[in-house]
Amino acid sequence: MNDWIVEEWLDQEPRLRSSIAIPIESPDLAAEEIGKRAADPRFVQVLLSTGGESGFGVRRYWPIYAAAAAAGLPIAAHTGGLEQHRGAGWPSFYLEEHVWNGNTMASLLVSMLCEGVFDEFPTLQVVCVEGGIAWAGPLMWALDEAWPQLREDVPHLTKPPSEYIREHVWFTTQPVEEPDDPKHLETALRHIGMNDRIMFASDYPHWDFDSPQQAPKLFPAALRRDIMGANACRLYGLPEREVAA
Amino acid sequence: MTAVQTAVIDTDVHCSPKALSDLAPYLDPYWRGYITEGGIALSPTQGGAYPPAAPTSGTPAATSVEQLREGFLDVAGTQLAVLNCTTSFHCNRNPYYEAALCRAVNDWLVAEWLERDERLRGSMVVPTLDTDAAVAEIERIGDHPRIVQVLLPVRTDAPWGNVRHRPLLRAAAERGLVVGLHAWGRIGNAPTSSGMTHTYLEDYLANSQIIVQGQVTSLVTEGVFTQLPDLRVTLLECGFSWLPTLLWRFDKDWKGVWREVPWLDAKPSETARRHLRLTTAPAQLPSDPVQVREALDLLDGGSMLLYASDHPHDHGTGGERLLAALTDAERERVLGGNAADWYRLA
Repeated sequence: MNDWIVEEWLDQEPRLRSSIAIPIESPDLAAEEIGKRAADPRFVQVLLSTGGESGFGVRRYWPIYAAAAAAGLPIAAHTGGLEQHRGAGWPSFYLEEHVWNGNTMASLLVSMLCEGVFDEFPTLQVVCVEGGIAWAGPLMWALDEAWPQLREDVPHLTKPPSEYIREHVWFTTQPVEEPDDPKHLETALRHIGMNDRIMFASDYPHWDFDSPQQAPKLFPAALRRDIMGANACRLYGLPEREVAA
Repeated sequence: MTAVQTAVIDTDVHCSPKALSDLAPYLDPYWRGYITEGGIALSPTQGGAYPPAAPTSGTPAATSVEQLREGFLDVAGTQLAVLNCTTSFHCNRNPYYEAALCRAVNDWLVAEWLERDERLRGSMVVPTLDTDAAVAEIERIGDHPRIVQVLLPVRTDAPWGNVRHRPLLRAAAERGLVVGLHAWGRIGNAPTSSGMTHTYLEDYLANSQIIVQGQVTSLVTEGVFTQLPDLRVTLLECGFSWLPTLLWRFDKDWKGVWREVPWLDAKPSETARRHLRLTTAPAQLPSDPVQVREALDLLDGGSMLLYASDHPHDHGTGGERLLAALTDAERERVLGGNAADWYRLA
């Protein structure tokens, strides 16, 4: 698949960069593939799903993170993959499943935190792709509220969990939450405090995709330039294009 | 500033039998034999939900009304308390035993608690594996004047909005009983989309994020509130600060895929706000008081929240930050007025 991406996409169109596809449940083979592709600068991240056979913090996945950290590549966790019982049982409808999807991201981050991934790989960056953003504030409040009481349970977490999230996590925009009053989104983003880690994603060609022409209106004016490009350039080490005023 | 004495209604106070022997008078001989011969015990930690050494578990729940009275109600000055006994949430998978256990818990709750202290109201429990048996139990005891709620675990085999559960919800709604979804429940099912957790922190957080949000999306999407317009649902010990952002996404997605669920006759956020209330413990809020206030505004906390001590559990300092951020009028509503209206506690 990665060969096909190189030959039929990256070699054909200079504006494209790609994620490295990996056999997620075979972490040793995944690490090998990451090592093999890392020399090609057009591969800018490693693609993970949000649902797996185990929580993605579990140690058996760590070879993936070791290889990504060694190559200086972020892990991009994209909504999808296996969906196990999730405590309440499976949804009946697409709407129900889609609305809840921020939680697949939340459980991935909580698993990585609780299992100590961010302590083991202090440079590792994780991009939450297609999971929304606004849920991250309440999740960080919940983590920070519980952590002082349950520290004995997670001795490797030496500072409030929200600090790890602010140092290791990035978000892509689609499907960004859209409250009736756009100011509410601005408030939620301010609570999260990670505006330098939010990157535009159109999610083309899905039904709910955001066109690059219309999308900037969804975001607070002061953040548009960063979200629409500058943040991604920083994460992926891409040159920023000068835009005519 | 004069201190205002607000009548406090506490919507989540726990009690528990010491052991199955407390329930023996309420079980028939067959089940007493089943328990003895099968070596069945009642888990004092509710199967890992409240590990004794975890600070969040607090002290064990009161096991007698005298203990609760002296150790809590008299000290806290509570006007009314809703008792929640979650002992039956941790049960084996014998549906007949689960039903018998729930009947025993309910009879014990009525006889040994509700009828022995004027301040107490109670949640009845129902079996989760047999909807007909749950309905029968609501018919048997749901009209007791002190029973105000049907208590369900938030962790289930299938979400509560699922059509297989509808008769249970209908039976509660017909009697004007609130349905309460309370943290924990069956722990045999993985609480994430990626399987089992390895730490208690992860498991604990799953209640207030992953699982309860799954239940809310299920109840609204499946059209439960369209079909049962009088149904009221309280989310207990499941947090509350996550609700606004979930509803933003819910409304947005509904605008896109409403054709899948033509029975939804209003915006999901409006339906959720009309039919749901949430208890105040755990209060998972920012540390900055200004942001706490903003979070409460996004939620409309003054209307949506019902005060709960969650005695004897201890979820940290968020509850104090919450009460400090409310206006006097809101505080009065959260501490008592909202619960009085919601549970029809005249």
